[in-house]
Amino acid sequence: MIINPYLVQPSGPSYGTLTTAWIAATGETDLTILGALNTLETDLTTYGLTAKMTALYPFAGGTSVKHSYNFMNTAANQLSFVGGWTHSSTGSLPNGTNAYANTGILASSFGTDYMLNFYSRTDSDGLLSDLGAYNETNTTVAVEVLTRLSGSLYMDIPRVNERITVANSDSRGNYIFFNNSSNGRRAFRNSTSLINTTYLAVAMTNKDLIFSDWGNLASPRYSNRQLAFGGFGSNFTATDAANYYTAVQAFQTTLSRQV
Amino acid sequence: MKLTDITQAEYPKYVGLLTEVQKDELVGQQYTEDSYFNPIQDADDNWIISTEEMNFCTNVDFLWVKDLDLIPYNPKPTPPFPPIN
Repeated sequence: MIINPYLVQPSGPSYGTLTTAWIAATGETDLTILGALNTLETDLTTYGLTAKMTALYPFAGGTSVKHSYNFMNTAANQLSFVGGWTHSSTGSLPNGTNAYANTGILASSFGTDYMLNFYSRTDSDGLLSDLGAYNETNTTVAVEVLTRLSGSLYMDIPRVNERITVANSDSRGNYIFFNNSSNGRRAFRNSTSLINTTYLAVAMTNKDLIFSDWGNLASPRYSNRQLAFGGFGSNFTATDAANYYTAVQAFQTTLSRQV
Repeated sequence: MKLTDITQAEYPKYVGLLTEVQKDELVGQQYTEDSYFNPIQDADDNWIISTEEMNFCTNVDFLWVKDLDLIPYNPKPTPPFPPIN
């Protein structure tokens, strides 16, 4: 058989399973974004993080729909944006007036073994919740993170007599908070260890984790900090946190939005 | 004053004023895909939505929000950050 070479279709880039599913869900065609996602997928595999992740929100593509998808499973835990948001190629910017994003992930679903992550591109100081989950019937296990209030980071995960405060003069960066019986309770900003203390055997509240507020309608603390990544998982170690940051920062650098 | 009378840089200074009936119509509804209205009350207990919700609304059932009257944003005082105990 003679094959006419002019009729052979050029082969495009091949992508991993998660990136292929992302394309199917979002219709993304931007090769820079797809390359960054595919590298992220490869990095997660290389670092042994894939099985540890429940959800990853890359905030890539510049629209509310594309920013809503969970990279680990595009059919689950899609974000719902509530209130005023502005979506762009650098992420999702809440207005600080009435905006938050609901993950649909029950904080309690992780038990006492959790990893919570977000990547903030805005430096601001104020009473602004970056991440939270609030249950008005049991406030002691509510969750709240404020990255910069009067120059300090506040970690209430959960609140039950366990507030930890450390100095933090810049709210930008990649934040990771994890807790498990094997590796203790840690917090990192980028590659810097902020908190290193003992495991806390208290589960978080049975309400949804939300970005950019903490879910208390009577006392909201809407954030004005732009989100450029978020993730939730379990069974993290300090090495995992370092590798995760390396992968996320490489992703942001490829998209020219790293801080 | 309407949305068309201000620049995008002025958006944070203003909000759209709702009646109680309009507020009830918007609760739980999407203004664009995967994005929901969130009416809140200001310091004077007016029901309001943000200028972003007005500007980015593509839901044909609620395009009337683009024509809401704007008022200066006067937020409710934020309760102080409570101690943990």
